Amino acid sequence: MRSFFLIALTCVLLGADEFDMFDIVDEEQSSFEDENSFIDVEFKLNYQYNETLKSNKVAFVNLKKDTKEFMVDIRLVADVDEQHILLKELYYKGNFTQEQYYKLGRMNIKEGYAKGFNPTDYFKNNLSLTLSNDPKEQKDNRLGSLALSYSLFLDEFVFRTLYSPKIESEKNTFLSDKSYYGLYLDKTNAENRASVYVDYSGVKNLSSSFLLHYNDEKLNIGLNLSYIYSDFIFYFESSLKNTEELINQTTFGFTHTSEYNLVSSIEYIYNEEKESKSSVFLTTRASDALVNLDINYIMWLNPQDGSSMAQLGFEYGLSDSFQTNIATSVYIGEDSSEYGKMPNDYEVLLELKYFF
Amino acid sequence: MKIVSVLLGMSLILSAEPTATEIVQKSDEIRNPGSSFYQRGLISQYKNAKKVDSMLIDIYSKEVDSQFKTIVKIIKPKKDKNKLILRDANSMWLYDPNSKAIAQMSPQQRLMGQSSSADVMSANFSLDYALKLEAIESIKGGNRKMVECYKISMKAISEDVSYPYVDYWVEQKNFHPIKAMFYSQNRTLLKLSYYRKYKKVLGKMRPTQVLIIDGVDSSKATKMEFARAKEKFMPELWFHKEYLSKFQEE
Repeated sequence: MRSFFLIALTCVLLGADEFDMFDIVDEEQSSFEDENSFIDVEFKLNYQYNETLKSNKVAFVNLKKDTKEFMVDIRLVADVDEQHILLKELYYKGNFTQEQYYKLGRMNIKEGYAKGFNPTDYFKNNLSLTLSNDPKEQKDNRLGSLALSYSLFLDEFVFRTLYSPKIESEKNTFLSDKSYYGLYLDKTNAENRASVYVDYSGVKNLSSSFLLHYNDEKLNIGLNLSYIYSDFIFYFESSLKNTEELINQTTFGFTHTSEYNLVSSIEYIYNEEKESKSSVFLTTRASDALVNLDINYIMWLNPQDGSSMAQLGFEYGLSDSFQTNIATSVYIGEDSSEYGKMPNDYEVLLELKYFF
Repeated sequence: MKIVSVLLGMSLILSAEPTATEIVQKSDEIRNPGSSFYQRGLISQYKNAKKVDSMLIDIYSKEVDSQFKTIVKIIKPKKDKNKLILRDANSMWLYDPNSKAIAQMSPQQRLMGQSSSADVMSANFSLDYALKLEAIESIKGGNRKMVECYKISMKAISEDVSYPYVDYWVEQKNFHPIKAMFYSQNRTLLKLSYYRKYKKVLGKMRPTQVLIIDGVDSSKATKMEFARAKEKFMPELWFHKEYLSKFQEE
């Protein structure tokens, strides 16, 4: 009898909460208006602390405008010792027909379904503009390459081609690293590169991309596969490079999304570098773990020598415009091991971001 | 004898009613404002009776082969501005304009608060679930008034859905969706939704607000509001993941 009353009381209380929520949400006046700004501006202050460098302060201002016709992304970098204006991206977007598109200019070209290491990301050596150890951050923040790309959409197929020319330039010129405004095209376009991609999405839950990439007189053959099953996404990414000997680099793994919004990926990387190094990469992210707080964990593990690098990060949104991030990385392993021989045992990165 | 009479009476009442499929089909037509449409969505997250976060999105939906393909474009918060989410059947892709990266994501992945990405995407329940008319009962609706409803139990038959089991209440007189309870595979209540604030949108009375309350912690809630609905022509090309990098509203 007592338990019956307890259950009834719980039901009444739960019911009250449920319907009280109607009044709470109805109090608020809703605004569907957006703020149309002429240009998107982001201010970012990074403060890095580690044993050898002790401290490193870098301020970034990103100016971005993305329209139907063009994209421009300029980054102003102010370090303690030097300042740069970097033209991260500037390209024109055009179309011949509704199914045929092209882009011309400086663009960040990325390929690959894997989270940690992308064997088919043939532009990964471009200059990175971040202090973060997170591979996603590193891919997001790099200088684009001068290129011309063309895409043709045919039902489930998409054909894409790309040409990125070699640009040679003397040191200390506008095209290379002159003063604070050099374009660094000698770095981002250090070789002639051409790619052909065929994407196919005709099989339910499966996405695939086959690519041929030519650079520096070498041919690379790449394959990307991604398959979704229940809460899992399985992915496979592989590249075969034709040098003096055939080199294969492969990454495979899966991503799982839990009921509690925990998104985790684990992947194995075969032959990450020429010396047959293999790695394991793990990442997990809890979005809204607490109100406005995201927690992010990444780990690189070298199974050959047992060394590892782990990073724990917290991202907290103070408001719609203001975000703070803090990430701590530790390097674990013998002095001769891959991560043990890093100059620091730990690093702390504090980042403040303001979006105007 | 009395029990037999009651059961016989109930079966007669039920047989005079439309089938579960007809009920859910009609409510699908009310939940989805058209076969090719745009609308703006505002998602607000509440915790302990306080609004803690919000997100403004543009939603583009097109019905192809009886199921919807949808693109969600994030307008606010500023840190996520212009990110795009594409859903085509069970495949869901996130395009980040900062990185130019297209990453596959799970439909269960939360957009904000209790709302998953799938919640803001249009869907036809009648095609994704095996449906059974359980009862006709009076429940408290989104305006706190008692409403006579069909109670439909739904069991997923398509892999393309985020919730394996759903209990769904549809108003008897006009097929308005009133309430839904979403369960996991092991029948744990994940969340419950109330369809509220009926207004005339694209020729029919439709809910313009969905209130989602967490199944475990009822102090957590998410309000999804929809406005500015209009019919819009959208080429199928828009709903190809490789097109996301070129997507700009015409």
